[in-house]
Amino acid sequence: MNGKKLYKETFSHVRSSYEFNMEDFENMKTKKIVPAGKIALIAAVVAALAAIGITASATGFFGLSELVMPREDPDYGSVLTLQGFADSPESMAVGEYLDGGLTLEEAADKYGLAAVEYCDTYDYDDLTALQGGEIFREGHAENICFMYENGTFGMDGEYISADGTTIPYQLLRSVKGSIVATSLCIGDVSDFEEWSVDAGGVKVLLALGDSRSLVLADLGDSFLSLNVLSGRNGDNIFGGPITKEHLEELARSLNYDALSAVNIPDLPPEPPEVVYGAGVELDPEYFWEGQCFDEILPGWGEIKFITCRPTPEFDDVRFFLSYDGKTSDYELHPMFNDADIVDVAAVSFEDLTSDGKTDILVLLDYNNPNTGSAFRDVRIFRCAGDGEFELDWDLVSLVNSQIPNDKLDVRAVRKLLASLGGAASPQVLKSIDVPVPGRTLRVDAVGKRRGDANVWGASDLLVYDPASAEPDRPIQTIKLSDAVGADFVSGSVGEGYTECWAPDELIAPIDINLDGCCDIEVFGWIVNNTIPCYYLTWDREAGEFRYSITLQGARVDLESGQVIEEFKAGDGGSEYNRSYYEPDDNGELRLVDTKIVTVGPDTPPEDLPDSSGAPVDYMGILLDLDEETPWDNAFRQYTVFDLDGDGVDELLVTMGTCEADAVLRVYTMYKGGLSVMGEVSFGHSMLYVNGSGELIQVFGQMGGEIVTRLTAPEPGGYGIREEKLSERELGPEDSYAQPGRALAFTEYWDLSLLEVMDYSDILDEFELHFSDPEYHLSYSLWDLDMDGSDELFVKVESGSWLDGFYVYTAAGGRARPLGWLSGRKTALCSGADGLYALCIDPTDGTEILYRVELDSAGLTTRVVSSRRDLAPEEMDAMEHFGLTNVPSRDISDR
Amino acid sequence: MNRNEFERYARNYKDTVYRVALNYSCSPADAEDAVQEVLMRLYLSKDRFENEEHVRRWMIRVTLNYCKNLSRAARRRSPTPPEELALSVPFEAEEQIALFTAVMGLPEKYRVPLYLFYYEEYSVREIGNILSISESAVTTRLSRARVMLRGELEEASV
Repeated sequence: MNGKKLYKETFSHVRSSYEFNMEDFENMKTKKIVPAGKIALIAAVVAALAAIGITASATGFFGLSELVMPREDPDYGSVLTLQGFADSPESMAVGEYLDGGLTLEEAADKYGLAAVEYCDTYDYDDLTALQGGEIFREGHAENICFMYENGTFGMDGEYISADGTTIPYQLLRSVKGSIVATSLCIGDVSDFEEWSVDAGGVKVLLALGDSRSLVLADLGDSFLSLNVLSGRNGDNIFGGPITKEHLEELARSLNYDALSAVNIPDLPPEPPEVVYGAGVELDPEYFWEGQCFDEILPGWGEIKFITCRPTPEFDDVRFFLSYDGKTSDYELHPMFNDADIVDVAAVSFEDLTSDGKTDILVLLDYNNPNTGSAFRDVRIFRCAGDGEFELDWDLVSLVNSQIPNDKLDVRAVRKLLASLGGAASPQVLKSIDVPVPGRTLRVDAVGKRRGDANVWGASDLLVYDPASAEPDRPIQTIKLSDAVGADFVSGSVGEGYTECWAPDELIAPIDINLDGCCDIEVFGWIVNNTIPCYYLTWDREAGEFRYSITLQGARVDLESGQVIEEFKAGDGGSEYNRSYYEPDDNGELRLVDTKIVTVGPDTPPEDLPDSSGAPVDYMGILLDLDEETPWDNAFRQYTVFDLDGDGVDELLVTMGTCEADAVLRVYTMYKGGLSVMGEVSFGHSMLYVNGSGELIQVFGQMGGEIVTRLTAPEPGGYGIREEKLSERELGPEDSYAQPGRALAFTEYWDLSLLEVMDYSDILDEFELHFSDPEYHLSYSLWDLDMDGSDELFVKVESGSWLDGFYVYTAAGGRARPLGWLSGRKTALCSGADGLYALCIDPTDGTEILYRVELDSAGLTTRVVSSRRDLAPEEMDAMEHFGLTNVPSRDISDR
Repeated sequence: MNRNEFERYARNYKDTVYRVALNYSCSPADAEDAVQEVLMRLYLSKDRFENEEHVRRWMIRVTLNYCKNLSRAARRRSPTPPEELALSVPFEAEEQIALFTAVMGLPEKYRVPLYLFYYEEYSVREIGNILSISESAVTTRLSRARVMLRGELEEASV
């Protein structure tokens, strides 16, 4: 059975267990309910901190220009406070707050405003009751809002217009006399088209912008703003575009009577501020029965471990250590899981990391309030010494990735962590000697295995002077996350650890700034590119190492005195960024030059990237080339040949746009990395392997022929050696030289020269690469070389130059390409003496018959008969030569 | 879209949604969530669909967007190991189990194009449109997936 059929059969058994029931949908509500007590951050424009009452006045027509703040944001243009006119106390207070000169409370005080500090979520039905009616007419999602204690409220909303356009917005109805610490940057006011409409007796200002729009209304005791997240252009996040008509429809869909009402809501009591850590008052009412223990813990001795249920101020479990059971002495890292805690499934005190210290494992069962599904959460508090228990995210991540959630229990966690040995605990993973002036220091990299079994990381470097009076006392301790600090490009060191594949890679000695003094190279993090490393250089004056620079794919070039950094960049990695650094007088590396090299057919050899250092294989090269090279480019083929005789084939790739610029580029594997061995001009050329196993290039054009032997450079060198063997002009009876077995080339995407593939795999490849309906694929089998095993002829028909037969042979179950036969309007047929290809084109009466042969040079064709301007009844080559059609099958028929 | 149409689409394509989501997330629970979420969105959708094929493609796109959002959520379910996944499906032959396990062991970026190509029988061009990647990227991923699968299946058969 072929792969596709098997795949379909296999996945036909994969089905959802969901029982569809139409009634569920008909009864569905769109409201989203969040349990009371949860504070949800909803709108980006809202962060209410303080509001104090004073009446502001605003009547009559107004425009954006009356609302924008006097001072613009330097990056984002005009600013609206959304709380009134620019000269209102509210806006002026917010303006001073935004300027950074005053706190919000101070600003409110200055303008006689009161403070409101608390808000909570508010159900739409409750909002309706508070406002004396629904604030929307129809077409709006009835979302929850956030309500402040003075009646200011806001919500994220969505309106579906009559023509089905979805219009998302953020609504704020702010009570006058109060200020909210919010503003909206709208860019250039002149980008907006403004006009006003009368909506139920309320004058509403509408402003249509490119990507955002506004609906603003002065409601007397309050001010309404809708920040509409769409405009005349629309975008692929919020949809659109929207029109003036949409905005007017939106404006009229609001119930301004209800929106205008200012009433004080009945909010739950403000939860007390959460106190974390030591000194938390513990209420036995919230102790989780059965999950509180008297334990002996490292750094604490005998102490109570207390599991606390969710409280009004913290809606999740918390874990405390307390001596007296009344006040906490320590709190394990609190986490708020946005789900409902159902149970504390397990608490275990044991050495999970094989370091001889007791850690704490907690398993918690939660319920997802949105889907109702249950899940288990794991927390591993690793004993970090000195009474500290650190929540080990790496181990949590490892457990979550390795143990299915429904199999997550203490035993499974214990077993998994035990399999790591002590690797999950920080320890010295690598030591190096680093010679500095006058002595040789020893540097230990302290780290651990990260969450993934094949990922390690260092957190600290300990520097020792073995020759000192205290050889075991570090002369310097470098915490990498602090040392690298804010200057790092990326990577996980911000989480405390670097990232590499093996302990041996963690650190290495190197003189990175060419000052004759050894420095430390720290493997930064894992990327699919050249490796980024942090470099710590030796400061001779201070007598210590300090972080200097982060470089990616760096190497020291002693000849030039430069450090060269190189990494793939650009879309699809088609570019190489090569930067050149030189040390200054202080030993700091300074960037002196940067080149962006786009690798392509015209890239000079000296600009071709060196071995990347990252694992790259021939297949990757071919697939990248396949992706980058247009399909109608004639030079997109490759072959393989062991040019340097090391037992590993080189990859020989044709590149170029025409015979004039065609080149053959040779890739080789050198010291575990891929590099370019060189390239030669390859227009009008073929390759042969002669009787001595040498690679011979035959150039033939317009009767001129040059035969060249190609040999490899020295190992690691660059430049294919070309030795001309002969040159001649062919006479009328001469044929071009065939000095051996022709090397068959095949398309970049045909991996049969790299991978073991049988005919079925080959047909799969064709189905993949010619999957569009414009192509018709079929295949035939014929024993061309009469070895008892059929060759495969895959026919591609589309009416383009790609039409033809791709021919493969198989030996030992492995298919390899033999060549390609042009095949527009051509069919295979057989005669008594072998295989033929017959091209018939009724449109111009052409009939050409070829003999298809396979000789020592490879796949060839020889014209047997060629006639033109034939009438259809005259096209009788089949009958004349006694030929019969070779059966063909649709490619799906196998 | 009327009631009958919605019901037809829901019944016809809920398994499609499930398979796409499972290929993306390797989590049956998340995939089941996706089914409910996507059907709900279809029910609520005001989009005008030209034909049933348009609906199918819309549902696949919405499923993928949903899965992407879910994968960014702080609390996503951990993927189920392929061998465990295979146990939950009533396969009829060993080779089906082997193929499924091998496929679900591939990285996500290969699984989804593989499914769209082999099962849903979209062309490379169509898959590129659905996934918003180039055609050549689709063929690259499919090629690599097939090479990786060959290796996995050969090892499994040794």
